[in-house]
Amino acid sequence: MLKAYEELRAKSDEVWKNTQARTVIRVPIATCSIAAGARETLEALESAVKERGLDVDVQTVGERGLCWLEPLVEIVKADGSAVLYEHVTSDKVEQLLDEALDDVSADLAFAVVEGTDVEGLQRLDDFDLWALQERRLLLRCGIIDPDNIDHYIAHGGYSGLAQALDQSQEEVIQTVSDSTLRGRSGSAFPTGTKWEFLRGKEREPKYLICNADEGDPGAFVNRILMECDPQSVIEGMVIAAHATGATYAFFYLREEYPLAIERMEKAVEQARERGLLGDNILESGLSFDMKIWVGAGSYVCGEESGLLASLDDERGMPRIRPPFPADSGVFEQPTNVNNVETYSDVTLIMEKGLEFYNSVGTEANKGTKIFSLSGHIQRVCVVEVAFGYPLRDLYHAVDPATYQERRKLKALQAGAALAGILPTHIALKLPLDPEAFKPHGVLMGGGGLVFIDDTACIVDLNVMFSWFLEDESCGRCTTCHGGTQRMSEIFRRIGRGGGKSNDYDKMELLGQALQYSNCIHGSASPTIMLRSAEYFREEIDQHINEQRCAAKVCRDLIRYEIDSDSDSDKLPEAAAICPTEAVVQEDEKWSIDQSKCIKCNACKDVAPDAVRIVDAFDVLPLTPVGASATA
Amino acid sequence: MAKLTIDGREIEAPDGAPLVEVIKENGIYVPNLCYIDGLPPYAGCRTCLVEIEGARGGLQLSCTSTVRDEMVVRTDTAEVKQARQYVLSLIDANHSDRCLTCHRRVKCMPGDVCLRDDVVTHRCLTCSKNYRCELQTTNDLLDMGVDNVEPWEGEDRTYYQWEQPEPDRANPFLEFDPQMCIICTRCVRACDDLRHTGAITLAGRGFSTRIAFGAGGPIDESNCDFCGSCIDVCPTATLMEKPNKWLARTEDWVSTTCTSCSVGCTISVGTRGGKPVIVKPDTINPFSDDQICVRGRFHYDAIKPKERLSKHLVREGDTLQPSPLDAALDIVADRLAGIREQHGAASIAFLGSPFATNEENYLVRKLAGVVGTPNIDFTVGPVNQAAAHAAQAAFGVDRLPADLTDIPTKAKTILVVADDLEETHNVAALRIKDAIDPRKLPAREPARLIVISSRRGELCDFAEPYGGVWLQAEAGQEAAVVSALAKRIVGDENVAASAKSAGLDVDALAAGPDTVTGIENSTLDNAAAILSEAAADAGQTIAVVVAPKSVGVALAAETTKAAANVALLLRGASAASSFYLLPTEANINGARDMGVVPGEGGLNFIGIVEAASAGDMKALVVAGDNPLMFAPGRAKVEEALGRLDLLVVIDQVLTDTAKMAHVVLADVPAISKDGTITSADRRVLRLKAAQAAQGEAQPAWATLSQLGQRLTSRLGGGESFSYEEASEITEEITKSVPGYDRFHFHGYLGWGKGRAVEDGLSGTIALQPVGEPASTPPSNGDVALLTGRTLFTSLEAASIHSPEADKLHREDAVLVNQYDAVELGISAGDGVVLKNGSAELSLKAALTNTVPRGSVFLSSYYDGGVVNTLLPSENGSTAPARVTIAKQS
Repeated sequence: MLKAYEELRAKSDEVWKNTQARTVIRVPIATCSIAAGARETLEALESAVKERGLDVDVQTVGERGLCWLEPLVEIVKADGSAVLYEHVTSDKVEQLLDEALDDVSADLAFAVVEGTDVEGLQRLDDFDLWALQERRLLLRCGIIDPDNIDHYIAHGGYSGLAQALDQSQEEVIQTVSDSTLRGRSGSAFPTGTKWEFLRGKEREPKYLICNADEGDPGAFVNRILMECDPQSVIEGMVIAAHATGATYAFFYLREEYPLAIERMEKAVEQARERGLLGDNILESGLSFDMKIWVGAGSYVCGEESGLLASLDDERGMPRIRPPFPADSGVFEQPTNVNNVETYSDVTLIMEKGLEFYNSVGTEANKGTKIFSLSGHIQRVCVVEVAFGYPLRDLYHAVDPATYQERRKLKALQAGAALAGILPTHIALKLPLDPEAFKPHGVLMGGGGLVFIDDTACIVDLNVMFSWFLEDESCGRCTTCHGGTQRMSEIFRRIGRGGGKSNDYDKMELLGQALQYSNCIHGSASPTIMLRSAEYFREEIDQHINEQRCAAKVCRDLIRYEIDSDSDSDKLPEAAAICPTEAVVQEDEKWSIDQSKCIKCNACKDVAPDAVRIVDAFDVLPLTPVGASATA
Repeated sequence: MAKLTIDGREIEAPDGAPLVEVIKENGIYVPNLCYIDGLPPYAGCRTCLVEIEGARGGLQLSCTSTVRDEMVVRTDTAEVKQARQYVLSLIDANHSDRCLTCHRRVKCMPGDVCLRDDVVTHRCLTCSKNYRCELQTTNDLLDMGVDNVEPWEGEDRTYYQWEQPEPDRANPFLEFDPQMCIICTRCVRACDDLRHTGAITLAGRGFSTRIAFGAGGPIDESNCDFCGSCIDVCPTATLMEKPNKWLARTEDWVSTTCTSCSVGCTISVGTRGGKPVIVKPDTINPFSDDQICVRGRFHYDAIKPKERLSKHLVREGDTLQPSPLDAALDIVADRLAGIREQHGAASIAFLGSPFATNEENYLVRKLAGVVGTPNIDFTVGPVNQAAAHAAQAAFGVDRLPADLTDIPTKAKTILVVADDLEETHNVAALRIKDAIDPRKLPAREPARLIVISSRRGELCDFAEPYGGVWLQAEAGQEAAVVSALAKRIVGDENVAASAKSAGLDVDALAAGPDTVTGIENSTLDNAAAILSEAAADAGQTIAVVVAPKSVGVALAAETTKAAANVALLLRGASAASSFYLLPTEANINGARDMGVVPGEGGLNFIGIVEAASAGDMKALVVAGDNPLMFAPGRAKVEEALGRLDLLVVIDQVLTDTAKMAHVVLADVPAISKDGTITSADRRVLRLKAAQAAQGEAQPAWATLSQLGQRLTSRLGGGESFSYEEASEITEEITKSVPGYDRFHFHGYLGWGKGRAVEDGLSGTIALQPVGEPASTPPSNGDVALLTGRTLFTSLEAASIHSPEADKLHREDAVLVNQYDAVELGISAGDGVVLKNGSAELSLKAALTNTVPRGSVFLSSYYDGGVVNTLLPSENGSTAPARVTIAKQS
């Protein structure tokens, strides 16, 4: 182990030890806790602590991934006992300080993290969604201050680098290859092989890129790493620099992650101050530095070569390959691009060793993967599980109520629009392993898992996703910008009740034509359409043949009616809110003037029981598409 | 070379060549709507699909695939065809399209009712590119109509539900209709990679991706130069020539040469009803290759037919009256014979012309021989002769062997001594840019550029940013700057030693200046360092390019001397292979080669004017020249011409000179002529009539030969002037003119490739001392008056004072430095008065940063060369003329 690292570690241990001496209130500041009001909580706490003159430290930490509980404040006492408090918004700060400093606030407490059991309070380790996790990459999240490099080092940070620097380039790459680590963005290319490509290039300088342009809807895996444990990504990149001979890196971070940008900037600065970036890193002779590069908000810039084009000040369009980045990447120099989580994984492999890393996971994919779960579930969260973990168990843990048949889960979308969509009966049988998803014509993707229940309409979803794909097309391939537009048109038409029996043929044709696109954005964009047609045929058929939307979502296929049996107390309000004066009362009898109704749902929002949505054809005879919709 | 099989045919092609080009070269059809030959693939249209045996992932794009040995390619399978059709259907869906898939299209005739009951704007006949559209052809060849591949018929076509940008029809040259666009981006890449202009860009993304000029505004507010390169590559009717847009479904194509400058770009003129309607580049001249400029493409109809002469004119009192040709020629022959009888042959002079063909200049020379006068020249002849003499003294050869095609392909260090080559020799400037910023395949090492000019031209932007240097010389100091460079280079021991060993007397450079006012020494050092580096690397190809202005004999001589010195220091005995003297006008080299230079004891143009002014010169025959437009000191020339007993002008329009003539013989424009011209690097290029002569006008060679017949019958002499065709004169030239004897005349077959240069480098080389630059100090706040050829002004239109000579109205104003303008209180568009001892000129002012402070610029063609009223006659000084400028009260 390098002497320079030992010195660094000793200093940091001291800093961390000092934070343990007093009671610490840890307030998570990350994007989802901020959305839940954590900033206000932090301010309120700081001023209350000052006002009360309490001998307490208020510390900013990252989040633990339990997003639905935010602001999730933890109080760690000098004796080591620690309790998590849920939903501590600023108005509950006084209560927290009143009750939780000397004792445990039963009212606000969520779980005991450390210390003796508390009557009526679960332990975090027993909490189902916590217990099922294999927290490795997320281990430090919610515990350390992401803006404090000492906290990171005291928790084993940069020991992986120190060990890697003791090894040769070949040894490091061999270890990475043996770990079966594959790119975590969804492409799943073996990282070791990629590094070997770059190492073999003689042209200098060589560059590393961290692809932090996480733009898939429903994916916030990389964000949590950058916001809560930024140094682990940097450490992985320095290890990669050592292994490949790269001397400079660009950290391409999407503009929509302002907090991640701020944290990463600070982390790079601190790493530089400690000699972990710059010349002669840890006195090993390695020189490597990096720059945070803020993207300009284009989905296709998350595609490796689109990212490189953007970095080169070109229009953000994926490039024609060859040349591949290892031959000609940024500034036409040899370049390696990896995902945020991939670099974090490298850090873990080097820190804990191959044996530890490989102890969980499947044959093809060892180790763990972070997933962000959202959609129609109760517990929106970020979890880390071993590869191969059963999706059904995870789903039951994040949505216990649906599990009890409250609503019916309809579909799962893993890895966003390009990866496809799966029906429940297939999805819940799968283990969380990329190999298991492939036979079903979909990808597992980068970690976003969006659950969709039966309040959503598959046609409507396709309208939304094909519009997204259309809008984010770069404009190069006629197949892509033309094909996604045709996709949108077909689904919009079906959603309007204009579906035709040959629409499936057109989808087939698009699926064929679009595979001749340059990048994955084009070639994979029909996936969701084709999987929808395959797995949700019945529902689309219903739209086409019966002009009926079972989910009551497609506007042109539904109408709003007053339920005459129900309580009409709220109907005057519904009439008042209606922007088109369609809710009318005649002879004491309420009705909706269909010629005026724009189906905005405002009346149903205020009078949910009195207004019901019915199929358009329930009350009207079928009319040919395009003809006037009156009897 | 690799051996591959395409559709079962064994084919040999270079290893690594783009497959799509190889397929096309072998006569096999492959659709490719975004590919530009010779540029890296864009791979946007995705139609060029082929099957490659063993390739992973299905069909492959032939534009991104490269040739490998033993490759097996199929372009003719059902799968390939269907895939292409599907992809093409997506392109068609976003195009105003019915011309593409309508199976009736080939049967429909204009005026037919559309049987498809389609809205009229979708119909084929409403598209100006109907029947000459690449997209349409692609649809035809892929059987889209026959197989009825219209999967998207009846779809919403949301693309058209968005507000479409308005077509841009605001400028006189280029029409841009974004609704027709399929976003293949060929125009973007042509503008970037073929032209280095970058006026066109891709804007937006997804379905709203659009082509935009500049920042998305009108074309004429972008930095578009209207070269039309984008039109050539556009596969649809998105970018079209505005003139004759609807007429340009051509009946015939004629390959000829542009005569707008000495580059000699070969062009194809499309004709309809015997009239030119469209011009495209023709690749016969390998230097111009696939590019021309705005003049070549659009100046063919710069003036209206009625503005050309269609009758021969004879002076009756104050007026010129139409006359039959024979009568007019008889008058000329009789009076010339009479004057010779009375005053001797020396009282007669002939002016050939850089705008006339070799054949015509040859006949002018021959006529002078019949008359027996050595007084033969053309207006800008003295300037050209001064430069040519300087080059000859330096290299010992007259017809320099340097080949312009070396610049884009090989040159590594380029020195340009020229004011805005972009405007004078547009395509030459383009090829220099090609060398500095190579985009075409195969890849080549970029060159470095040193520019010496007083005005800022586009080439200056290709110097510093690409590792070169721009030396902004004060007007008139260009030679001094080059001399300062030469002196620095010769200070390098190795350079001096090798110069001495080549037999050069380096002391000739000792008097050169060490510093030049207005230029930092460090800048001079940087430029010298680049040149020294080139001197040290003998294997490197260099290029020294000099383009003297058409006015200023002394400056042309000194500049050429100084630049030749640099070339000699760098390349010694082989320097002539790297030295390029670019004359301003098209056929100056041809005129010189044909002997349109003063004979033994003869007067040059300046002498002819002096003699006429003194009353010694009695008769002047002007064949295509226009002294009043091109000669400085116009008042003096006008006075001299007025004293002539006989002034004969052969011209296609009634120029100022023609208006003074006693006899005007109607010529035809270059586009109606047969013959040859000789370009800057003495490529002998073919002119071919694309348009019939108008009225009684006939080509000057015919007029001259008829005049010759009459003169020989009156004056005797054994010369024969019986030519039925211009080619007979060409044949005579190849037999008698030095350098042209290498062309074996086979009806012009294969011309355009060969050059009439001197072989070998046997001449005696010598360094020449360069004279001290003269400068006139400013007085009373006057400014230097700079002039030169500009890009947009048409010669024909300017010579008849057409207000539309510059259709963009960018050059019909005096250009004032924007900072000077503030001090002078002049705003853009203000009327100003330029004034000096000679004349006074009222015109509009335009503000610019291209003109250095303390000077103004006026196009030399503006209003029939009116700038010459302010310029002094050639006086041996290198200093620019000075004028006062004031806002018009």
